[in-house]
Amino acid sequence: MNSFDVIVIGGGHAGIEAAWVCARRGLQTALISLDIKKIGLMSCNPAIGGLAKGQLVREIDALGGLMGRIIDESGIHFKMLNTSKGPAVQSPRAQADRGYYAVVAQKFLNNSANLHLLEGMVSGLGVRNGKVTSVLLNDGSEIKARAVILTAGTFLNGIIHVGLNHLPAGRAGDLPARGLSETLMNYGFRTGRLKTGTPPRIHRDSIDYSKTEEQKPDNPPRPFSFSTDRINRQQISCYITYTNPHTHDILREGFDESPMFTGRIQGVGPRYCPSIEDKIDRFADKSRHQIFLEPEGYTNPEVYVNGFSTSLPGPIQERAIRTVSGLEKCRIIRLGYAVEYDFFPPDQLYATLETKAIEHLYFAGQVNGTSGYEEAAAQGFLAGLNAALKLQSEEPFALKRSEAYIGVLIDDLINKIHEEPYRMFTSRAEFRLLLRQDNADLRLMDHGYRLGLVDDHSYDRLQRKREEIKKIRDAHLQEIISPATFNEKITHSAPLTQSQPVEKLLRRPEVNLVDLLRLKGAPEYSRDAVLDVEFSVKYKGYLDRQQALLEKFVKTEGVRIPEALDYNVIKALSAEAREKLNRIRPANLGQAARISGVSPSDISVLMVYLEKYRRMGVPRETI
Amino acid sequence: MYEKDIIIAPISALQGGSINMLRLSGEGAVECADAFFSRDLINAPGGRFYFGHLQNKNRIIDDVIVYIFRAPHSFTGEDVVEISCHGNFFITEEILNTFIDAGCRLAEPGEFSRRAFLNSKMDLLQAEAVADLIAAKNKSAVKNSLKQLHGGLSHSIQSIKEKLIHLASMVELDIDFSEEEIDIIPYDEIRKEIEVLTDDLKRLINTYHTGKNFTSSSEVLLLGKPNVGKSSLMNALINRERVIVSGQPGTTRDHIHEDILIHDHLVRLIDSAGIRRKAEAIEKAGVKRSVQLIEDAVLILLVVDLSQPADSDDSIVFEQLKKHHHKIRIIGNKKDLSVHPDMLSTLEKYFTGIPVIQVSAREKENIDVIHDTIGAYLRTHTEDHEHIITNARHHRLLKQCVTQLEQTREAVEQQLGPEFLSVDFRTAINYLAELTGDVTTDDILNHIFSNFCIGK
Repeated sequence: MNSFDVIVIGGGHAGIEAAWVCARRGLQTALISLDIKKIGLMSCNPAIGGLAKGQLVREIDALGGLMGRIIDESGIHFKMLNTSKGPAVQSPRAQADRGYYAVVAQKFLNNSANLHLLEGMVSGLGVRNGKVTSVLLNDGSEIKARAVILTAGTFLNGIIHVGLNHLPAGRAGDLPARGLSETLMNYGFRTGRLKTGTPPRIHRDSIDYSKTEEQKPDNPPRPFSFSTDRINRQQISCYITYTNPHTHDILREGFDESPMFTGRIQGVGPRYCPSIEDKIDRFADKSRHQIFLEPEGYTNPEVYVNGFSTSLPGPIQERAIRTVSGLEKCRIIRLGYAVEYDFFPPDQLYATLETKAIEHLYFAGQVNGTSGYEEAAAQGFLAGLNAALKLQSEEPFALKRSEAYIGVLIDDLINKIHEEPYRMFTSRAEFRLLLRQDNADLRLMDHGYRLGLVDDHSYDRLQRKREEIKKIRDAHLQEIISPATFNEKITHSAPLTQSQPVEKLLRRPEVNLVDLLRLKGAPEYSRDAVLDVEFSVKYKGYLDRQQALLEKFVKTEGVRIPEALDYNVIKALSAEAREKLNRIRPANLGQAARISGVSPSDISVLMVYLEKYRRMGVPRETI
Repeated sequence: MYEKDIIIAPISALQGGSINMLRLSGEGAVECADAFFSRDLINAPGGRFYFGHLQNKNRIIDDVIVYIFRAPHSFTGEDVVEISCHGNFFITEEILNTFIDAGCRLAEPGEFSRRAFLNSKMDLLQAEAVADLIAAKNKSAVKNSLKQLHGGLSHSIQSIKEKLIHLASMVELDIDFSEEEIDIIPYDEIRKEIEVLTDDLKRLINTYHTGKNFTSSSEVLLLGKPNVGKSSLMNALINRERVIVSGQPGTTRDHIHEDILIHDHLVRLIDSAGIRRKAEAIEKAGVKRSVQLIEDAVLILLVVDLSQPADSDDSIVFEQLKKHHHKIRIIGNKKDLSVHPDMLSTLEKYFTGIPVIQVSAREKENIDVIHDTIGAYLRTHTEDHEHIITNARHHRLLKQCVTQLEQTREAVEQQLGPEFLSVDFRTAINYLAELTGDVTTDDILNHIFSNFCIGK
């Protein structure tokens, strides 16, 4: 075949979701990768989820994406994080069997109707009348496409550094994608340069586990996907150890040959994921740093030394790592390295992730300057979905900041200036209390179902959950509990002197709904349904505040700005605001207000002009 | 179309007049005014005025005249109440605060006009003018606010804000980086910190009431080389022996100020440290402060000794003031001794066109001319209703911040999780941020990244 509806370039986590969703929408889709067997390969640490990232995976799953289902089939160590805190900030995380994760991902894609996996190196794009029309391969062939989604990860002009040695590459052992960046720059795309790093991988049989702390997985493991019933696979442990002053001394010896400290690396690395040399340089007073030893699978002997990311010369890495407790005799299988790569500052995209310069061309994942599998997958899903919807002449799909972490992610990407790789944190979500991992289905699955991406089985389950929630609210919240019953069974709370309804008792921080339901002899409800009701009652004050904030927020979000608005004619705007607004071209007043450099005064001025255009009858185009 | 809340602001220029005016606009404005007015306004027909008094909690604020405009027959097209009170700074401010406490919002600069336009009370041709007005008014409001926040007050608020950002970072750290090996701040410590900050804020609010810190005065700076008689002049202007007067150059090491009333303007008269080339070490700090005072002053009174020719010390002062030409008045002191022609010609060279007011501080000659000069200058160069607005805003925001911190303290005592404390801290920070500039999530994350070793 040399013609497709959609071509996805790249087989990482963004590419997988993009291709999956397009195919599910019934479009003839091709995924082009340098090596089909490497589709879904975890190039960095072998884990999915984590704080805030776990929420992203749950959201992707609720919408009908793949990531949660793949990790549920390939996870070897599941753990819910922040369990000592409330449900709004708990996040699932799982270590994967690295090799098997890729196998499962490929299985899903291979079994999908309308989806074709192609091998090849993309060297350029065909563009006509401002629209993308084809993909050019370096063997000279051309494949026609009505839409193209670029998810090339760190492959664009990638350079790998180990000490002062460097070589052009994507991930270790792969070729960099060179021509493509240049092609796009010819169409006026701006690029920036970023850096990321990985730690060494060591052989699991060379570790003395008796000198480390064991970190056990949750039992039973809790799945990511709303469609997974339970996980039966055997679960294995991770281990924790620490660096010491001796380790730091050796690492310091290598600073003269550090590609970072000598200025050889130009790209900016993430501050939340510093290399070990960066940590000891910036926090010299810390005498030890935590190291997580993460197994890469049941059979794969590699262990990922998380926390020891470095680009120092090989001999230094080797000497330093052997000073760490339990790693004295470890064998390094692969050295740590840093990779520099090009990205396209995402203010060049619409909220649909379609590029402003070329129609039907979409960017998703690390090419947009994000880091992390989950961030990439979320973008891939959204880009794929919007590419499909546009080809099918349907309304674009967007999520608000108040609806999903995915909404926060996209909004931050297109409105902010990014100086380091972007990673999701729960603190980025102003509506954090509303965006829980356990209610991602309640928030988003209706969308997924409406769009034909969620199956009946999962959707039925959601409906049952909703019924349960309603039942608990209606049947039990106003039930009265007598002092006798309460005081006999619940001893960790102050004794009750008069009868009170369940709803009121729930406001006591130490009292939970499960116990109260048991007191009343209520039927067994699912854990998530109980949790949802409990949360909404217990923290009503805070939720009301978030709701009030939300209403204010929605009001300005609702005021659309015509896409063609020429900000240059609005002289009353500050120069900075004019420049930023012209560049970012916000879709509505709320988005405009969030752009740094746009002041309340500028928003006020914009309101006047929007009204002026309205009265003049300038149509408000929708994006 | 966009918002319907009730906004309020003074609408008359308030200098020296006998009447001040405030406007409330928005749905429910009449009901809101009715709550504080001695007569029934709810059933009062629009387009008329009503005489009575405004009272808050049984205390009479002032006798006022209230005009009622019913929507859409008003300037903004909404329900509008205009209140005329006596032309006193403090009364106007109290009325403003009373309504803000009742839930009205201070109008943004240019907001009445914006609403008028949005409600079709102005035609399309006026759109651009409205936009320009909004931009201009905002610019001056920002300038005004910054000016008031200069110095001690700004420093206090900034430091409280930073401590709040630190606390917010600590709770975020506990959420987003709980997997890291980092010591989390105990709740007991958070509670103590909150208590200290609440006290600090309350102290600031109290100084607002006594008017000592939150001055709404215009700063007038006395400047000149040492020993030209600035201190004597200041004494003459305030009619009190407050400043130590001495013949030894450099006695007035730091600046001294007095708040006085000149032609109904609250004026902060400041006697600066002398600016000299060979300043003694001990004076350097004072000299540096003088430079800041020059920037901040509304009006500078350049004081020279008329009986002497201009020397190199004078030149240093003149040189420094050249670029402030627009806000300088020259006082030639010691006219009772003699008038040296060289001084006059040097002044004319540096400050072409600015007349020299010849006075004698010792003999109290022509001091009233200085008074009149200051009064006339301020009448044309200040917009003191902007002052009132910034003041009321500051006051309001600090109070809201305190209330929020008190709630946060309760949340800490109830051992609520960090995700809830975060909501509380962010709300508190946002109140202060309205005074000192935005604080974003990125600021909190930046604080975390630069202070804690984060990341695997």
